[in-house]
Amino acid sequence: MSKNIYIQKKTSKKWENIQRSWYSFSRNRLSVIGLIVILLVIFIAIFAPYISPSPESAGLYINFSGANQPPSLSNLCGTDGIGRDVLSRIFFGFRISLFMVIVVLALVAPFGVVMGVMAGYFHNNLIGIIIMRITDMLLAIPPLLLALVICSTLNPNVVNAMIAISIGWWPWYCRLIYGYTISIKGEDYVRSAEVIGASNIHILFKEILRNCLSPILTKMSLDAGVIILIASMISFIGLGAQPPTPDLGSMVADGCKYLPELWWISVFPAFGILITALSFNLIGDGIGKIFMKVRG
Amino acid sequence: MKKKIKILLFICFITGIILSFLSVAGAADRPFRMCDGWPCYIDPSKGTDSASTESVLNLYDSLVLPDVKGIPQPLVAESWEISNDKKVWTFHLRTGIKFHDGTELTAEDVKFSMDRLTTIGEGFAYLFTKRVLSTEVVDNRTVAFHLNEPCGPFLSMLIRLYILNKDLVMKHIVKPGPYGDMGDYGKEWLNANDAGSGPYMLKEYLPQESVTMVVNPNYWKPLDPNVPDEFKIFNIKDEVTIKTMLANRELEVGYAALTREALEAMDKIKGIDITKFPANSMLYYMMHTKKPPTDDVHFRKALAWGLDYKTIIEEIKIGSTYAASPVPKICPGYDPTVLQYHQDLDKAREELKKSKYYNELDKYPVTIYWNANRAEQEKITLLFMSNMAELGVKIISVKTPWMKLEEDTASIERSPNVTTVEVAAEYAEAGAFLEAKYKSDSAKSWSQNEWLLDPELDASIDDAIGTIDQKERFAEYSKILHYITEDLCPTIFLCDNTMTIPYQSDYVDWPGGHGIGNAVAYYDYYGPNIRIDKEKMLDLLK
Amino acid sequence: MEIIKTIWKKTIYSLIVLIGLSIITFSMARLMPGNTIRMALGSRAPEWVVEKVMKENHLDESIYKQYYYWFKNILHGDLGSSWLTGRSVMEDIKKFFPATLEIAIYAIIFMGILGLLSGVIAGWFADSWIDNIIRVIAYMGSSVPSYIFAIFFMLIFSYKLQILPTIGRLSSGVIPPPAITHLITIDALLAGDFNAFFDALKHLILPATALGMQPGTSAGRLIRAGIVGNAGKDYIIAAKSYGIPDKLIMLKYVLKPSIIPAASIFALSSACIFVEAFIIEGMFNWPGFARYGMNALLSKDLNAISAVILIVGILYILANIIADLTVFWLDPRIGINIRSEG
Repeated sequence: MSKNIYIQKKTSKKWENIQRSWYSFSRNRLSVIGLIVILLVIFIAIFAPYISPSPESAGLYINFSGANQPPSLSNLCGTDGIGRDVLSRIFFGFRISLFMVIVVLALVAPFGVVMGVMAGYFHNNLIGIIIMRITDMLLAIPPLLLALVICSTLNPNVVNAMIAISIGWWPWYCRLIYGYTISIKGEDYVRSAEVIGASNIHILFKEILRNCLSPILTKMSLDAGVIILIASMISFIGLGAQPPTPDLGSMVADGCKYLPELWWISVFPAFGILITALSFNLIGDGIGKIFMKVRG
Repeated sequence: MKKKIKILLFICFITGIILSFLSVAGAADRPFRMCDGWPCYIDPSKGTDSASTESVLNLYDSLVLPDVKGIPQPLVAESWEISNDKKVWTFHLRTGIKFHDGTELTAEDVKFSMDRLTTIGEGFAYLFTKRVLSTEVVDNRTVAFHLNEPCGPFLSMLIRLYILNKDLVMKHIVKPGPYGDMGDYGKEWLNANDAGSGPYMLKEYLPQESVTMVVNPNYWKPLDPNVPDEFKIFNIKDEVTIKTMLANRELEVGYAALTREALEAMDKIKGIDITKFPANSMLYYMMHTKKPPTDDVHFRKALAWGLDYKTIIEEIKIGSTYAASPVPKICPGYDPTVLQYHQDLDKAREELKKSKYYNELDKYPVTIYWNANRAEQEKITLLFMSNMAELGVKIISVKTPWMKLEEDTASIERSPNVTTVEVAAEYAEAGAFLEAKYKSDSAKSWSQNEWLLDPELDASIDDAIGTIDQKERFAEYSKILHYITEDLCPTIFLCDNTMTIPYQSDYVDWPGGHGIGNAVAYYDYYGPNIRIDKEKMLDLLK
Repeated sequence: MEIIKTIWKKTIYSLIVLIGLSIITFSMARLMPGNTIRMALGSRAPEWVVEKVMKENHLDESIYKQYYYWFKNILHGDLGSSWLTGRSVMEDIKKFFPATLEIAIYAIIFMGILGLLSGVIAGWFADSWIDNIIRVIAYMGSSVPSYIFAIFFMLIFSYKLQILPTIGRLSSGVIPPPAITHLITIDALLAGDFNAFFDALKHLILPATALGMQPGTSAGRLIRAGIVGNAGKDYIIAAKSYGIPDKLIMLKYVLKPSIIPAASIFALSSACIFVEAFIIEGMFNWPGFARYGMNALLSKDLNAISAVILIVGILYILANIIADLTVFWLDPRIGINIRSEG
């Protein structure tokens, strides 16, 4: 009987929490704008082949006679040096950027968190020590440098760029969660769960993770912005996506040679990078605020 | 009191800033500044790339100097003879040639330079290591080269033997070193110093940044008074930087490998013109003859017939011209009767049907490498991919930085099916291209990705080069060129390169500006051929 | 004393991490495919030359032995020689590092001023129109990579307006001051050469500002968030009720704790500048360490790569330690180990 009540209370509390979080998030105008923009970007990315004026521009398409046209009614963002429509390429470019961000975060966050929790819980055992040492070694190099070194070893393409960024990124999550795990380890509710007889795994993943959710989410959304910037730097030197794949970073890199006369080739993709990174930042700020407020 | 001092300092600071904006930076009287890539080795036994050669040919003299057509003319050597068995070449040197430190150039220095080049084995040594058995100092003014077989274009090759000051280098060798008695052969010292007798002397060498040379006032040959008095090469390849510098008159000549759009933008700047002159180099698609599917001659021919050359010449590499054979048109030894491939999709399909991969095109994709530093290669690759898509051939494009390209083409397993490279002639004859591209010993270098490894072809190239009489030699070249283009087809000849370079046309007068291209690579930047009009330059700066 | 003991412990610990790092980077560099010696000598070099040079550099031996030679040499201060420049790597670094250091110093100063000013002003006028404008600009600034700023600055100031120079550390007619610290601005001041000082400053403005914009605006955001968060705290309200002037409260009581989250990001960004700068250095033809490292990476100049990664690692660890110290100084209650662990 008591168990049922416990479960009931939990679900209603959870729903209340969600409602409360959404309320405080929506109070913040800028974060809501960020959310709307990101949803727009995701929408564009998913439906890119249907809504772009010239979907073949994102693939193997050459049209030298129509190259380097300034923005006009037929090409809202102009055409690039090969005659491809810049707007369509930006739409497809969002796909690649979002894909990279999602995959990297999906790989990095769970792995880093799990490592961090394990290292924190087994902090005096060999497992914990080994994990933290590896983390420290990888943390001693700035992620950009590590990504560049790995990318230059492997064949240049989007997948390898993602692997390179991921290898350099997971240690941050590991360290963050490790810190929180250590501080929470001594808390009463963990001890009480132990007393009840809940298994080790239960303790780890239910109690500790649940309480660390807030910094993880904040960090993930702020990281999304930085990952896009780092990916664009990797593409800038040619170690990322290969032509003709439309990738926002490479488009900016290729286009900046032609500034300021053919400004549209790099300005519009740069703007694309800007709004994507910006919206992730805004969302991240909003999420951070929610948890600050909810915590009290 | 404290406040007053603060205000005083603030005023000084502001004045200083204002003053610094007003001051004009002093520059040389008649500067010639250009930009190129890195590395730039000023040691003549070391580099073969553009920046290195451009510096070395100004700092050092060789026995002969190419004229604007690339024909060797006497420079350090006044006259020469060939022995009856054609294996000994004897050169008589001019008297009165002084090195930059004042000592006189003698036959000892020539022998030292050849020995050094062939012992170290880097740079242009490959032209001489197998050919020159020994160098003999006959007397102070005479030097003889003993070759192991007759070599027709030997004189053209000697352009790349730059003469070092033996005594000066010997003073700076570091022992112990890898060359026994010779220590390190002065490699460390020559990294940043010059031991030459050329029309320019080294003023400053900043690695990865720039090379500055000043005119040699005591050059043994009288120089025109309007020759540049300072010659500087910057390590810049970025279009925006170059455009800004040209507009601010900080550069006289821009980089050679700029995109069409960048050139159009620079053309619009007042006083800047784009000159076009033919270069003795070509853009090749080198096909790996030992890797499927390009190991089948019909497949290769299909690719050659399928490419849209017209678009490349008209839209992408503007100013370039149709290529017709393994050597460019301005290269002595060129044969206009060789078959010229053009886009003919029917012929391409015919050839494709004859190849053994016809029914399995999907299983055999063609991997193509292209140079990440060359923007127009991206366009050509995309064009190639769409042309081949019409034939049903699958292409995988890999954009590589130059180093990786160089590295992968050194191994027969890692080389891709097709590599995009520009090859220039080291000496002005068709033989240079044949040696660089089709002989077995160059198979590991970036200039050959065909991996022909054909001893018969090697022998016929050697025979051709061994023919002393020029007419006969060119006839032999011709046979080989026909065989390669029409029978083997290991390469697709995309176009003959034209150098399209932005320069300050108001005050810079150089042969390149008149559309004259030197058949020997990089001699377009030979200082004594350039003239700077000082008054016009100061006018522009006002 | 506690602090000194902790710093000492951290240093030893960092050294161990550094050695582990060197093993990783060493193996990565050496295990990369391809024969770098052949590239160094020119592709047409005869086989015997390639073999000879390989023997000289111990490249024909096992990787453990190679690491042993490399490590031994490092202890003597010999980082090997770079085949790209032909000199010893130590000399290259001595030459190129101060250039990047100079940009980094000015970028850090700019970042600090930008971050503090924007953060404090936005926090002071929280939720007003000033705050909103600054926040929007800050958000945009922190979402744009540094090379885009560099390109725009160069186009506006060098190309269109022509008031700032394009490339290099000094204009061509200016004689550099005698090199004491190798930082041209400091050397010029020490030598009393104001012409060189201002000229060098002119050359530094564009690259330093471009590099500092993104981290500076990020820091500004964090500081503003911190101020807004701390301004509502109980002790602040108490101070206000005591009648302490608002400005004093802001600068003395609110600012310090607000800077804490920004401080660690600031320190790490400063270290990242040494890596990020390679694009900027390429554009401004700055003879810097980052560009040298990038070229080494792309041309597989093994000794240079290992050395560069090692140095960046050291800088990064230093930045971490400085961040810890700063946080501790700002709020001694936190204790020196809270930011990282032991």
